Amino acid sequence: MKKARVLICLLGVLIAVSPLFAGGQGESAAASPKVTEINAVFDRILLEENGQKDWADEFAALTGVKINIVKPAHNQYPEILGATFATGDLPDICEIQTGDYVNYARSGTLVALNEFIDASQPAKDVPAELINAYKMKDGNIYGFPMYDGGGCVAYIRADWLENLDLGVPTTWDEFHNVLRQFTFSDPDGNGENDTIGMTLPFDVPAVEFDYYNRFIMQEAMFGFQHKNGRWVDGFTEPEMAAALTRFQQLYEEGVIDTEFFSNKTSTARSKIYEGQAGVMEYWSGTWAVRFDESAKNTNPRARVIPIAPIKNASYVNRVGPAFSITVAAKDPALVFDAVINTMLDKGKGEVLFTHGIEGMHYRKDGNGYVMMPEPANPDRPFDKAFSDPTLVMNGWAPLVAPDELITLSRQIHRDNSIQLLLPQGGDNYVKYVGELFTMKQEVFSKIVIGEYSVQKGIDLYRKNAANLHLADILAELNV
Amino acid sequence: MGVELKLSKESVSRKLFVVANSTLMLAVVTVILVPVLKVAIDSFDQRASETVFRVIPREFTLDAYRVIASRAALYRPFLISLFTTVVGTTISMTITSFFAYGLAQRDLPGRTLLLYLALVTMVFRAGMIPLFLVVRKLGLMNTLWAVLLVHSMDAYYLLLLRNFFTTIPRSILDAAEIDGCSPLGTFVRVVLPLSRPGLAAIGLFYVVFYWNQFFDYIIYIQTRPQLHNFQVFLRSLVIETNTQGFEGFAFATQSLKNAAVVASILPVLILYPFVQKYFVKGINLGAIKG
Amino acid sequence: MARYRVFYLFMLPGLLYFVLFHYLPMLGLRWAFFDYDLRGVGDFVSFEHFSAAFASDGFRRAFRNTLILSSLNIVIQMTAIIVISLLLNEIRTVGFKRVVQTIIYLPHFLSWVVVGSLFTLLLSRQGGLVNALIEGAGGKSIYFFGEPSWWRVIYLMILSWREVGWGTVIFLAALSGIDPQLYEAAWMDGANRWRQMWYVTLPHLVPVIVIVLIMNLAKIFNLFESVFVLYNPLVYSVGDVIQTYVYRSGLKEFRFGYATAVGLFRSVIAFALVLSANRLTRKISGEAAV
Repeated sequence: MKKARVLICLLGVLIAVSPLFAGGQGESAAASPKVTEINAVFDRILLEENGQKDWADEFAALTGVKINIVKPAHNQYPEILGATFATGDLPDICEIQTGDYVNYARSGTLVALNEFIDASQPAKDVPAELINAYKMKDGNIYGFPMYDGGGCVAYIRADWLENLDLGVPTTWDEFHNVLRQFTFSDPDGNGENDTIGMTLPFDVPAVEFDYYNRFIMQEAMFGFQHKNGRWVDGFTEPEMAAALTRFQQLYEEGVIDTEFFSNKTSTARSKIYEGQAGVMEYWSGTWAVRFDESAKNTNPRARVIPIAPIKNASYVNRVGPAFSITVAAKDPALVFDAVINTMLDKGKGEVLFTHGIEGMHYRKDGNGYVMMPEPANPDRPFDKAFSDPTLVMNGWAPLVAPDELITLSRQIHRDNSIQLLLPQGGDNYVKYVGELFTMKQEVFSKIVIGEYSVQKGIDLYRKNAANLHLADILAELNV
Repeated sequence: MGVELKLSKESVSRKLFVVANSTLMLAVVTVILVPVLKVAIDSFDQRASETVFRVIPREFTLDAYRVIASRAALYRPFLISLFTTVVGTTISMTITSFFAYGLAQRDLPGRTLLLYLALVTMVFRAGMIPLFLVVRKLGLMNTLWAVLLVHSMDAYYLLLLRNFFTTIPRSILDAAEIDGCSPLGTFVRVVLPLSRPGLAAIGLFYVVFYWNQFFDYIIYIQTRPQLHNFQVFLRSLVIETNTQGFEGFAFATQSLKNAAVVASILPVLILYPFVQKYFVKGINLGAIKG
Repeated sequence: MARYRVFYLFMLPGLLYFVLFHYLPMLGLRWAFFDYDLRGVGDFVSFEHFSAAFASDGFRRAFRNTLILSSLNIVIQMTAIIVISLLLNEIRTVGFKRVVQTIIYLPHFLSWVVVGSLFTLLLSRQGGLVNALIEGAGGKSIYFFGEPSWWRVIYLMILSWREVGWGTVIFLAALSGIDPQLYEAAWMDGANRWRQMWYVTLPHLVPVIVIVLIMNLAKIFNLFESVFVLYNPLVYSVGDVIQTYVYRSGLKEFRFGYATAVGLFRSVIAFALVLSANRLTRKISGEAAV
């Protein structure tokens, strides 16, 4: 009897408290007066210490719209944004990472931006291909590019090339030779056998691996490839066999970082900084300077420069993160205008989004402007408020001229890259793509270390991929 | 004569044992210590990234610690950690010990049910999103309460504490009752003091839990990063994700990263000696004899 | 009944905690049977998620790996913890004992992120201490993190490195509660050190050992962060565990329904394991651990 009483009490508590749990999915939009306040969830916005609040105030002054910014921890941004959406807490506008865009676009939680884009004067200066990268199959565009996605270029130790009397490689054979010499001919002249030719990251989202492997992959692609108007699986294309052979060869000779399978981008980068490796493909732009400076920290005579791709290889321009407006926005046109049109206004708005606030992030210097030290970290100059000034889309010239190296790397990239597209998968894609890529990574690594021959590996991949509905996935992509 | 011989034999084997034991302990300590030492030594080394392992830093510097002590972005999370650890542990110890004591009453009706209630929570986890929803509905988002309350009791520690409580002989409790002690009085004045080793252990566990908490901050405190604790900061220092090579703390040198790690271990290093005396053998069980 | 009312009051805060932060969210477990993604909760799909999981090679492999790694870990860690606790207990020099204890506790306070990067460095073929020693002794360097057979060994060793020292806390607390008079009595009866340990120490430790074992069983599927920072595609065949599998195939694609289903499956199995272990202990020792 006593037990039953306790049980009933418990049930009572549970029932009494359960209304708290009724999960709502968004709020009903009542007819509203003019909207003067919007909620945003951003990733790349300024840190608190760097003046986020001042930025928001300046934004309000410029647009007349108050913006409430939520900036979740960067490392967990995708998870937190996902949880936020899943619980029905949609902001008015948010930043969506490249890899998640398609999922959000298909979810029905975003507003189509086509009419706003057509009506927008500033958007006309943005290259159409950058905008259309976000166009879904139904013709709707659910995201607007924050900036030119950019891409990676190869960085190389110029001082090592000089020490070994080598020119900048332009063909595979030359590049291969450079890697060999970097590994075995003591390019830093310290008498130690402690250098390798090339390093790269592998512990990255599988779809991002192709950003960092262009010299070796060349025309092949690890992920899904848009070829001749159709989507194919790069791993089963003919070019992949040659690419895998190249990987195998480099691994066997030891001229590539043999532990790259566990490299994050930071691990790989530090090998360049510390002079353990001589070549790495990484993001063009501000990283050109960072590589050079960091390498100089270790060895004052180091020089890191960006170079053009070798014959048959080309860089890729990724689809960048997007601004998306959700169905919770009471006045999407206003949100679009306040954020996106301001960002592209080639005037005060664009300055705010890139350089930040005068007197806090940059200041007048004679006839021009210079960046001030970063408030949170005065040892370094401040580089961007929201979007990278070296990645502007509409041809606007930044107030502060970027470093030569930066401009050079961007130039090289622009001249030598092809625009990537977003694969728009269906239900099979969502169900199986995670496992497909996991399996692909495993097979790839086993081929590279020589455990499988190239042919055996590719056959094994095909077999496993068939079990993971690859054919259905491709059919959905090509619909 | 015979007795003396027996005693000396005993002490020889005993001595051997002591030597063997000490050597083994030293070996264990070395294995544990080498990686930790690397972190500690590298925190003083300007050029830490270059070395495999050095006993003496290549380029000694106190810069890293100076940076930590001087930058608000660095010492504020540390203070937050201290605050939440102290407050959180207090809350947890209170809730847990009271609940455990209730569970320890052998004749309490519904005791088994309540016990299983706690047990089930050890294996069944609803998942991130349902919990997130509840926290939201309770209005705890973006406050330290979320972090302090959401995981305030751990069923494992609860059971351990209950076990410690049940080992207290009935006779002592009865004696207290006869002396006119209320249940609360008995609990506070008799049971708790007798359970010091158990309480010390569980207390230490909670301290560690609160000190190391990290995910709860990130998911429940989104609009006020000034409330994040040291672990959150430490992680953003040591790892980063790959979205266009985002760089929140690009200035971090190896030595700073290591110094931050050392700072995160300090509280335990300092706290432990105080707690250790509760683990010393031979706690006064005088009450039993009487 | 009034007598018991006080105890129910004692337990009220804890009860509220369980209800609010554990049972209420558990209502969300129903989503394991629904389509739940970014769009929100969709159609009822009954056991579709479960059948998808069982049909998936990746899931089955992850499940197998989880069981293997967890059970091996429990055995290795428990043995090491018990042995070291007993040996530590034998140290008479208080200073030495305290120092050893403080040192072996340290690794537990390093977050997995830090431990991961530490050992990746230490075991690397490019400038890692271990391989440097191996090569110095004339051997060939080993790609620890790249060879599945080595990876398992290394992973388990790192797990123990981090947790064994800390695991001794609870055992030392239990050991310190043993009445020294019991040892004296045994000594009088002619028992040497080993017999004392067998007849006095170990029986007192058995309840704690059992509880700790059962708690570890409950957590058997929880491996995540340790694997996450130490694995890579070359070792998925032995290293991919349920949590990492779900993270890659579920959460990253926002398949919340699927992730909840896998979580529910995990919980049910763990619960069954705990219940049977408890029943087994009751049969063996006549008294349940819980």
